[in-house]
Amino acid sequence: MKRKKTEEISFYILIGLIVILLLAALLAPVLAPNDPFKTELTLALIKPDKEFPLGTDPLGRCVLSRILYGARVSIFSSLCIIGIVFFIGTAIGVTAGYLGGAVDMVLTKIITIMQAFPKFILAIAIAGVLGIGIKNTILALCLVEWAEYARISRNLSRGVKQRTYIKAAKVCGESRLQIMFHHVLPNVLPTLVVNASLGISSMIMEVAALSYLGVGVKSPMSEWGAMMNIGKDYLQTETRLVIIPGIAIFVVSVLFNLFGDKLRDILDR
Amino acid sequence: MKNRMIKLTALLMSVLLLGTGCGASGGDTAGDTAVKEEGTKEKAVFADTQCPTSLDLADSWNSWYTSRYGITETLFKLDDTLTAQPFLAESCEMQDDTTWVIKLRDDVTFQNGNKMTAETVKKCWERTMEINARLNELLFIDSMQADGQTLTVKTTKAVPSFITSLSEPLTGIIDVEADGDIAEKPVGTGPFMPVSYEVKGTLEVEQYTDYWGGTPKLEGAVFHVIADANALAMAQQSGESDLSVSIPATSLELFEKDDAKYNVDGVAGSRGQVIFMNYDNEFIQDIHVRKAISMSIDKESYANVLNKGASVPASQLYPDFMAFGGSDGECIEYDLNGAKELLKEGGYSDSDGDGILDKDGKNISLRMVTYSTKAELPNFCEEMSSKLKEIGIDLQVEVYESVAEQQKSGDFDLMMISFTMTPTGDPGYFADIAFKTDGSSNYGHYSNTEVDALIDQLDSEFDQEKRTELTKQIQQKIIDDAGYIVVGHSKYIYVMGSSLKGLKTNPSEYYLLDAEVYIQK
Repeated sequence: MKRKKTEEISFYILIGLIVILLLAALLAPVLAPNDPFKTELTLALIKPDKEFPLGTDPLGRCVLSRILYGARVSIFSSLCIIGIVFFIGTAIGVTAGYLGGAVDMVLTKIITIMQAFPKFILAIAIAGVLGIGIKNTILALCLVEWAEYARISRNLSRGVKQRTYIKAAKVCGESRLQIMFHHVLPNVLPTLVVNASLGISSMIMEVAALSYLGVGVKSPMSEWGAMMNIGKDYLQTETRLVIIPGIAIFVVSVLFNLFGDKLRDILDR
Repeated sequence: MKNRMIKLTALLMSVLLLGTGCGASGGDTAGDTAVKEEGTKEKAVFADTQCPTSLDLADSWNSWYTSRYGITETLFKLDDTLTAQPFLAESCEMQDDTTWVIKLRDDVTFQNGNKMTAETVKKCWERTMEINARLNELLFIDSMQADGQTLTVKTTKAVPSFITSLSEPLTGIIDVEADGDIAEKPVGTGPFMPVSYEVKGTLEVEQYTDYWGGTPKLEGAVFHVIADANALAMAQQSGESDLSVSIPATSLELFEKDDAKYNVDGVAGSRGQVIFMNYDNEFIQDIHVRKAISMSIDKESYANVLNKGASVPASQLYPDFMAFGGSDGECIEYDLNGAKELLKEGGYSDSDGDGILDKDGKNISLRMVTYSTKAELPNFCEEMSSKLKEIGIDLQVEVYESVAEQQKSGDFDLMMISFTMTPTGDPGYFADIAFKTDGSSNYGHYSNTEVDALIDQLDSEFDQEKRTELTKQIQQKIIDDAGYIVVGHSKYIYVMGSSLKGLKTNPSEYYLLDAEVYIQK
């Protein structure tokens, strides 16, 4: 009983931290001490001081302000991707799993084909073809990520389909759509939500990785991966340029991962 | 409890991952040191980010490398001011507009002991011509006649830059009748002969004791190709390399502050950061916009702050250190307020209040493309984007691996690339390919009939002073048009371990290892 309570408390603390994080990202324009986009070469590579708490980058831009603005891009684009693939993947998966037969076969084949590709390399290729820009990055990652969610929800739905309450619903004359919405979906949803919340951190990393490789955001937009890319040339002289965005990615990933973890524990109970 | 386990496992995993990463690189280093130990005394180790596709000098740009490696040599050689001086040749004289008489040195032998004669030079050029069309864009050979050590060349047209072209490495001499594969073991006249070469890996050379300029001081050398610029810097720091070419400007200060251990030597080159503007864009067609863009670039800061002094700001277009460089002409000065005024004069205003100027309901929004293998370019573009925003122009920067695609398709508004403008020290080359209306590298379709006429004049002018004068005029016209922007010119920088001596820097990128280089024990 006591353990349950501490678990709940830590879950709320985590939620609190994530809310603070999201607020910080949303309120970046208010919180940022300086203009994150304005370059000023006379202020290039300043060590952390009062005016620039985390120093400046090679173009004289405030690193803290860029981290805050970058949080919006990194976090919200990841949430956006997870939202889209969660919706599409679940819709396809539940349809395939519940309807079965030819529909299932065709959809499963497509999912298998998508999953046969090395995911990240395919994303790089798609983003490369579509061109540089955050919209294209989101699109590219959605195109490669949906299959995983479709696969899981399809397998779960197939399991649920065998349950007696589904048979009962059928006997009662509910339509397929109604059964899918009212009985299948609610039963597969918890697992999917946990999976999605655990996926957020890997998505943040993938968005950052694409930007690091130069196929993500367009400059002057600020993004953590892109910041590391600029910093890598200064690895030996201005290590903070890589470390700071690295810490940001690390902290946010850990927070979302722990959140997903706790969410599973609570939903499993 | 369960959670602690998960955290512990996660920590273990990350440590393991880190370990494998270090392990792999550790392995590489071990291999490299082995190579070094074997020849610490008499062999020098060089490192560069780039390498040739094979050692056949006729193929693409490989000759630049074989020349740097000390394998092949040319009839003339460029000195510090990029003036061609006789090298394998004793003299080259013009008989009439299209006939050149070249007298070769009598004491030059190939690395297999054969003597270099006019006949061998003729055969070598005939082979190079067949493989690489660029040779005839340099020399325009119609026919050649060999007689002992005298080679008479007839050209298809008057070629004022003939002698400087004889220093372009592509005109280098190898014994084409020697045994063995030219791609693997070419037989040149240089101080060093190739032993083995693995593409994108390692090249080994050993001294040619009967070299005409005296026995080389080094017994041999190893050239490593290290594509990643940070790894290149680290190899120099760990003492794996004696000399590194293309160390990124950002790491230079590491070496500069430790001058007991390293020598950093740089010399202004002609590799310019050139901005091509696409005249298909309606805004670019307006001189107000072009000039405003020019005025928002603070060339001094770009070179000294962003590029940490690894380049020299350009007054006009050509490098300032050259006779025809534009330092005495009228330049476009950095002036943001002036740029704003200029745009206002051009009829642009921010009528919808979004911070971007517009005219007839269209925002000045431009796309700039560049590439990442020259580390300074993306930073320059970002800085431009920020400054243009201040004067009300929206500039979106796209950084690619290569912009070859965009050069072909013209899919850009602005393009910044790194371009060697005067490889042989002659201004005609870049004027022909970039400034002329139908030039092969005129990617933005700049066109000015007056400039074209002046370039035609330059192409047939032999008098050096008049050539300089004409180049200055061409340059001034383009600056008045704000037709091209050159931000600055990169220095050609080497970082050397302090024990490496005798290396002479040269503003061209043609030379590196020669007979005079040695290691002080």
